[in-house]
Amino acid sequence: MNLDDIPAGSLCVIDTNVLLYAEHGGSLQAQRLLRRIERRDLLGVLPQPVWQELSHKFMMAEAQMLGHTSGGNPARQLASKPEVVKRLSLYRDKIKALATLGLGFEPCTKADLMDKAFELQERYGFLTNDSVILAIALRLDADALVSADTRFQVTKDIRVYAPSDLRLPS
Amino acid sequence: MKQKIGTLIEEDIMRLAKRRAAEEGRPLSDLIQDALVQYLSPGAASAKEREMAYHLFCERPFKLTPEQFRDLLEEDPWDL
Repeated sequence: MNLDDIPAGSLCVIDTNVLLYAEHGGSLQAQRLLRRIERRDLLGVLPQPVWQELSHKFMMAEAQMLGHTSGGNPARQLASKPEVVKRLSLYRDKIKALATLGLGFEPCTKADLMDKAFELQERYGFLTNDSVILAIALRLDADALVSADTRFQVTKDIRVYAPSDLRLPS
Repeated sequence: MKQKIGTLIEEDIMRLAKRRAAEEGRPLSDLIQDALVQYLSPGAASAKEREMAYHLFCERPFKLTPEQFRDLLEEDPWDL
């Protein structure tokens, strides 16, 4: 099922990769998903790890775009340049824009990690962030988990939607 | 899920609402929902603010090379 198949009014928990594709223009379905959230046709929520991961990746993207990092391990390069980090601002504006357009912020509770996420890790072999995202989606009783990550397709606990129009830059 | 409701609204208010919806090029139901959201959660962004936020997010992408975008997808936040 692709992102255009999500029924109106659904509560969607969205993974980081879908937002990266939407921002970069690598998936029109991902952009339409955000448009539907902006117009309140869908309810969108990002679990805390997604907000954090996206902030991190956008910070790296802005630093790279401005030529402050190059090559491998941009995080390590940037960690040694706090003055550069202080001057970056577009990544923060973009993260705030997501909140403004209507995406909710769902914190991770102790039970999300220690009960549900650990159980999901035992059952499916998910890494920590993926299992926390799924645990939060299940707690919220979300109608849809939206991710380009095929690993989520094994889960039977929630309906998973993936963009079918990804255009990876060549 | 969206729900159909039936209610009574003063004629002149309805006229103003319809005119505004037409000016903004969106359905009346959308406008009424927006007004209710503003009333129920005063801090919520307006339709215009949400629209601008969408444009900032989706229509001003970071200028990255294809390789940089691929690295970004694979970048592990815990890898320092």
